[in-house]
Order: sequence, then structure tokens, then C-alpha cells
Amino acid sequence: MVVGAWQIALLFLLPLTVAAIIPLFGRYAHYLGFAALIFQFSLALSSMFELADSRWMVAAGDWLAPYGIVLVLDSFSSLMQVMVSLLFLCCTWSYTEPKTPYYWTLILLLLGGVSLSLMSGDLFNLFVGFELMLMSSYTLMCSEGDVNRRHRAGSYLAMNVMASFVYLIAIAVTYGITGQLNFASLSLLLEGDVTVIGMAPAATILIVLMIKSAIFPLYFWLPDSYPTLPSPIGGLFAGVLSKVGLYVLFRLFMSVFSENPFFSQLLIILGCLTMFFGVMGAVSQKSFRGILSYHTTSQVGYIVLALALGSEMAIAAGVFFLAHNMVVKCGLFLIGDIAEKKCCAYKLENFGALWTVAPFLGLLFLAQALSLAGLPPFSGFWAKYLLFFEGIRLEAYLAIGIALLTSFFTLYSMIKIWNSAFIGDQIEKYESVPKRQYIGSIVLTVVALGIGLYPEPLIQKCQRAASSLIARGEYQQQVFEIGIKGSRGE
Amino acid sequence: MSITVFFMLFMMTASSVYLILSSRYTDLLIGIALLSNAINILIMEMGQGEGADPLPQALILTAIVIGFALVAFLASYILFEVLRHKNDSIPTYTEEDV
Repeated sequence: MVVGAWQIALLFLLPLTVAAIIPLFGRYAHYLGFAALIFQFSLALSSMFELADSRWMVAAGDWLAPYGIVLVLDSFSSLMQVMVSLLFLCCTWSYTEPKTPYYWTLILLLLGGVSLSLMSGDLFNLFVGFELMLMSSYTLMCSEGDVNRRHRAGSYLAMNVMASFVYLIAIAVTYGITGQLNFASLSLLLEGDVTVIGMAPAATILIVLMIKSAIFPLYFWLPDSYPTLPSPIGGLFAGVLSKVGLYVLFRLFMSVFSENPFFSQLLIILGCLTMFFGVMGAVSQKSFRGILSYHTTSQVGYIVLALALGSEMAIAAGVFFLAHNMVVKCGLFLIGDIAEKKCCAYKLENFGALWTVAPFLGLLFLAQALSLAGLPPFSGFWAKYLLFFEGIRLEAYLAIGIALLTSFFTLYSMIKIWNSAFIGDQIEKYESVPKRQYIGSIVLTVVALGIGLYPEPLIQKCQRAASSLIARGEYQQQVFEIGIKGSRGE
Repeated sequence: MSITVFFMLFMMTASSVYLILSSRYTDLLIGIALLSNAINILIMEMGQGEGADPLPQALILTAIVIGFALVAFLASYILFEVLRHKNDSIPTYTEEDV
């Protein structure tokens, strides 16, 4: 047996298997669901530590690479696995009244799809992972979302179905040009190719990933449809789905497609526009969820900027930003959920004086909001510090200027939420929210604060992830070794 | 790729884009179904060598299944939306949506 084979297999087979049997458990389904999520989290955590700097690879069914399906777990994907399963635990814990009886099946299918996308080592298997993830997210959005505003889910559905078809075009183009779909073979075949033909696979896939991770100008579907979801599920979508798109963007552009100054330039411009238009949208919104949804796209801009800068330190900063953003964004959605339930309101004008009623909630919100804006001692400070430091070192002054301006507007829109929801006039009646609702947001705030106060381990982890992403030769060699030996390692 | 197939693909993609950009739910659905078929033909044409490459056929088989599921889901979504609004046109923004 190859090292790590059963961990890789369990990481995506466990959610899928449990998803299949969970409807049999009827009203006890959530016990099994939480057990599966806790198991997934501990498996991801243990494999992250056991893995350290190496890569684990499995050739499915012993079909040799590059013809068979290769699943890869390295330090970047294992970090993402840990983050993703943490968010799944917190969000499902906070979401207490699912509308559909198949809620747990959908959640676990979503997790299985995400997990498969994070580990797949070829373009087509990635497509299958994406589709598994998207199909369950469509169903969750239509069944759990607000029925009266369901027409707004249409833009999510239509855009992402289109993205799936463009992805198929990208697969056809890549296969037509290179005759391969495996990441390692592609990176070998496309190395140093800066002709238009050699750029075609990267260009078509960029369009897909721009839709999936909501990058300007294809971001409008996200703030349009996410507010229709109940906040915990919205937090799950904002924290996981668009971040998986960004993960794939990092993976493909750092270790598969050849380096090309055209794409770096393009991504810098797109990143800046995304963060600026995202935050401008947030400033104009009038609801808690609306502001947070626009911030989701705005923060994507920073991560794209980190990718575009392209140095090893910038990639590490991008990975750090990704991890920090998943925690903070999801935490803010969970806090927004409690605030909405307390005031029984959707629009910010119907909130008021939560600080006097629930000071603890106010503290949680302050911590996460200041972290999002990037003030010390919270995690956002380090994420932005690393990114800006590297940006200034690489002399991308204009981009860093726009990023600073965006941070300012981020703080402004967080103060806007604070002013209308937490201070101001009291409203007539406050509902009480059960204590268990707080646990998810407390856990995420503690994680954000922990990263802020002691960032060293995570920074080291991100540097390892970055160097593993950049090491193309080593990656190719390991995949082809699997191809020669088979997964039994004879 | 022969010129006939090329022209057919062009026509299919162009008309599906036209349909997808229209403001009616039914046109959107038909456009997406048409696009999924056009792409399957595109993958088939991308096979390597003299027409004996098995991989694109395996890819198409998977793509057909997934495309069918997507179109079926979209069809049921559109059916519910059309019945709810008693109107086939895709709604535009209102002040309430902000």
C-alpha cells in the first residue's frame, strides 16, 4: 500500500457513503451527520500533520498515470481540507431548522464534491468533483432558500451551469491541443509554451474559474443569489464554494500552466477591479447578508492579486489570506444569523441597539469585522500585512494602493452595520436565541483571534503550501513514479 | 474537423448563445440544452489520431449524464418559477432586492 492511500480514499468516500445511507436514519439523521463531519475534520487534521512536507498520491484502481485517475493530497490541499471541514461543522451546527428532509444528504454530497475537487489530479476528475459540489449546492439553494425570493437563485443556477459547459469546452480544447488531461503531463507539455495555442487551455479555464470564484466582471451572480439563503448556509457557500474555485486557480496557474506575463498582468487588473467593485457594492447595500455577500467578492480580489504577484512569498500570503478569509467570512455570516433572529429583521433599518441587549454578540461581531478590515491583533492584519509587504517589495504600488483603499471602505461598511444594528434606537421586541447558536461563531472567532495572536504556525504552513505549489518538477516526477510502479509500490 | 461539422457547431453555439441571452425562461432552458449538445460534439471532434481514440467517448458519456442532470434540474426550477409567477419572463430588479 502507498502511504496515505486510505486517508485519501476516506476523505471523499466517507461523505459520499454516509450521504447515501443517511436518509434511512429519519429524525436521528443529524447524529450520524455530525459524527461524519467530526470524523472528517479529525481525519483531515491528522493527515495534515502526518503529511508535513510530502505529497500523498493514489492511482485509482491501479490504472497508471497519466491514463488513470490520480488523487493527490499535498500541504495546500490538506490545509484546505481542514478549513473546509471546520466550516461545515460550524455552519451545520448553527443551522437548526432545515426545510428539506434530504438536508443532510445534500450537505454531505457537497462536502464529498469539495473534497474530491481539492484532491483531483486531472482536469476531468476535477470537473466531476465540481459538478457534484454544484449540483448539491443548486438543490440546497432552491430548497433551503427563501421561497419568495427564489427567482434570484436563477442567476446562480444559470451562470454556474454555463460555467460547467465552458469548462467542458476548456477540457475539449486542452485535450485537442495536448492529448492529455493529467496535471503532471499538462505541465510538462505546456512548459514554456507562450504561443496563442499554448495559452488557449489556460484562457478558457480562467473564464470558468472567474465565474466560479466570482471575479470581475463575472461576479454579479454571487451577491445576487447568496442573500436568498439562510445565513448559516450562506456562510457555508461564501466560505467554501468560491474558495474552492480560488484553490483551483492557484493549483492550475502555479503548477500546471506555464508562467506567462500576460496572465499575471490580467490577473492584477482583474483582482483590483474585483476588490474595488465588490466593496463599492457592499457600501450600497441595505441588508446584513447583502453587505457580507458583496464583501465575499471583494475579498476574492485580494487573493487573486496575491496569485498575480506570483512570487513564492506572495503565494504564501495568498494561501494565508484564503485560510483567514474562510474563517472570518463564515463567522460573520453566523453572527449575522443570530442578529437577524434576535431582531426578526432582514434589512438593516429594522435592526437596532443590539449592543444593549446582547453585548457578547457585539464583541464577537467587532472581533470578526475588525479582522475582515485588517486591523491588529486579528487574523486579517497578518493576511494583509504579508500581502502588502510582498506587493511593495515587487513594486506593485498602484495595486497595493487600491487594496488599501478597499480596506478603508471595508471598515466603512462594517461601521455601517455596527451603527445601524448594534447601536441606535431600540426596536420594539427582541426574540431570544438559544445558546447553542452561538457556538459556531465563538469557535470561528477564537480561531481568527488565535491566528491573529500567534500567526507563526499558519504562516509556516502557508509557505510550505506555496513551495509545494511551485515545485513543478518534483510533482511531475512523483506522479510519473506512480505511473510506473502502480499504487502498490512494488 | 471537417467543414460541415465546423459549420454545424458554429450554428448550434451561435443559436444557443442567442437563446441564453433572451429574457425568457423557456428560451434559456432550450439554449442551455442546445449548448450542452454542441459541446459534446466538440469533445468528440477533439479526439487524437484517426478516429479511434476511446478517451473522448468516455468523456462525452460522463458529460452527457452530467449535462442531462443539469438540464433536468434547471427545467424543474424553471417550471416552478413559471407556475409561481404565472409568467415566462425572467424578473428584473426591484427596489426590494437591494
